[in-house]
Amino acid sequence: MLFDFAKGPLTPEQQYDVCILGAGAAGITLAIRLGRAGKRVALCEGGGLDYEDDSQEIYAGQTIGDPYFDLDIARLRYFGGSTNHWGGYCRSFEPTDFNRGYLGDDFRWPISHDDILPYLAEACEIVEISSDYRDRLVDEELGLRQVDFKYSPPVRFGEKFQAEIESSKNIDLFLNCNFTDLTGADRRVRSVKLRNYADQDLEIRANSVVFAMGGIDNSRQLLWMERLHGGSFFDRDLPIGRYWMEHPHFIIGEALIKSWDQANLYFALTEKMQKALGIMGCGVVVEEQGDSTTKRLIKDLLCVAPGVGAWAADLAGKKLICSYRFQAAWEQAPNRENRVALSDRAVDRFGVPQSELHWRKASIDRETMLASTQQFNAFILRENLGRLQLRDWVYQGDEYPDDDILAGYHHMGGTRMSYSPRYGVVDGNCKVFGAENLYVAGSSLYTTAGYNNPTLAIVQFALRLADHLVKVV
Amino acid sequence: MNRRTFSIASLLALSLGHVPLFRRYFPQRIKSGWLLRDEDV
Repeated sequence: MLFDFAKGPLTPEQQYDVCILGAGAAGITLAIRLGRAGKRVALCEGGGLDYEDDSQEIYAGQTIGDPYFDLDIARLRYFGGSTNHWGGYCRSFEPTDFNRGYLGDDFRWPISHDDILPYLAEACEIVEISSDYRDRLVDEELGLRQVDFKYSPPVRFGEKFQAEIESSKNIDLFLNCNFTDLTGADRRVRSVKLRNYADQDLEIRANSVVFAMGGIDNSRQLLWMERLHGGSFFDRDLPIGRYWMEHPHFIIGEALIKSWDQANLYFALTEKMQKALGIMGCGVVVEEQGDSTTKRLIKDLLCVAPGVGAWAADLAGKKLICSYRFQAAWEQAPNRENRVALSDRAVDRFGVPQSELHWRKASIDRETMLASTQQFNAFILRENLGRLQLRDWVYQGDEYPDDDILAGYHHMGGTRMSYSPRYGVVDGNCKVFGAENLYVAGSSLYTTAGYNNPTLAIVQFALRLADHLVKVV
Repeated sequence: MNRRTFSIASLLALSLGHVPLFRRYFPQRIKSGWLLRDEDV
């Protein structure tokens, strides 16, 4: 059933098994699986079925640190969430992402890759891709491999599942319902309070509550609950909002490469090489460029290295060399100081402090990109495939440019999963430490970020959480 | 550059201290951003 709080007061009487706050990839996946399993679900979305300024402006906030996107454009706040504008790139976590103990305790997950792997096939089915990922080892000595990405159409979760949700006997979708508070006591949530844009209130009672409001608002709303209620619902002093992560994305250079069939492909280092170098994951996308770029690069190379420039010019005359752009997207280390905090300067229309995002890239983040690029360059030189020219800021050691891609719009961490409340906010079952029945879904769970796009894994984790909730509610 | 020279270069760079991060990973010849072999110039 669908209930739109924008159309007037609502007074739900029933007790739900699960109340899910947020109807994006995580919330919808969770609702569908729980509903199909016979659980009574209240799925609450702050926006409506389409984009509305009133809802979107709730995402406004400030950023402090490295250049980043305005927070109210970095995600979407209506039914389907940010799947309404995602690009569809799909690749999940790799086993090595759960084995980064060599980088310290901040990198330790409480679960293993085997815990989410059983959900890969179903997650792929949901986003309408094949689960047959075929990576290829390119060079063992240099630890270079070609990695396989899949591309969702992309699936808009709202469009895909609206009909099933509306016709479901077990799922009630509440639109224009903005989370404002929790009720309960003794670490147990009894109900959630919601408000529409006419300032009318609604209360929904549920046996369990899941925060699925996105990679920033899960942190913001948990911080707000801590400020309002102290330790009533979960442990005090959890690192809520901390260890927030993105995927830095930058164009690192261009290359002249001869007779290559590797264009428009994605490369990364093997687990063994990442460990040997003491770095994290980094993907390098190689994209073919046009003739004008090829001519420009040859002209430049002729000036600095006439011999190899002439070699390139000769190959170009025979149409045996092309230009390529190298774009890197890499993992950012979980850093306690990168965090979502509550603003002391501005509140949203419901009185909740806006988000204040503190985000900086660290030395190890840059090392990960540099070391990965060097292995890739070593391969190009050893095979005499061509020459790579790095962007000025890379080789001159300058600050990152602020007019580049910057990041992936991937909001991760903040309510991360951990084996200890010292390092994380939720346990291996996505339950907030110290809480009886409060859970988190979405990429804010991620202990580490990997280097791949987060959506496919969001779906895997939501399916896994649904299986857990089916057992306990 | 193979892995062995990479490791030696890294250790050498680290031992010198305050070596720019970039040079730790790219000790080779560089001109205008081009990563070159010695015989290129």
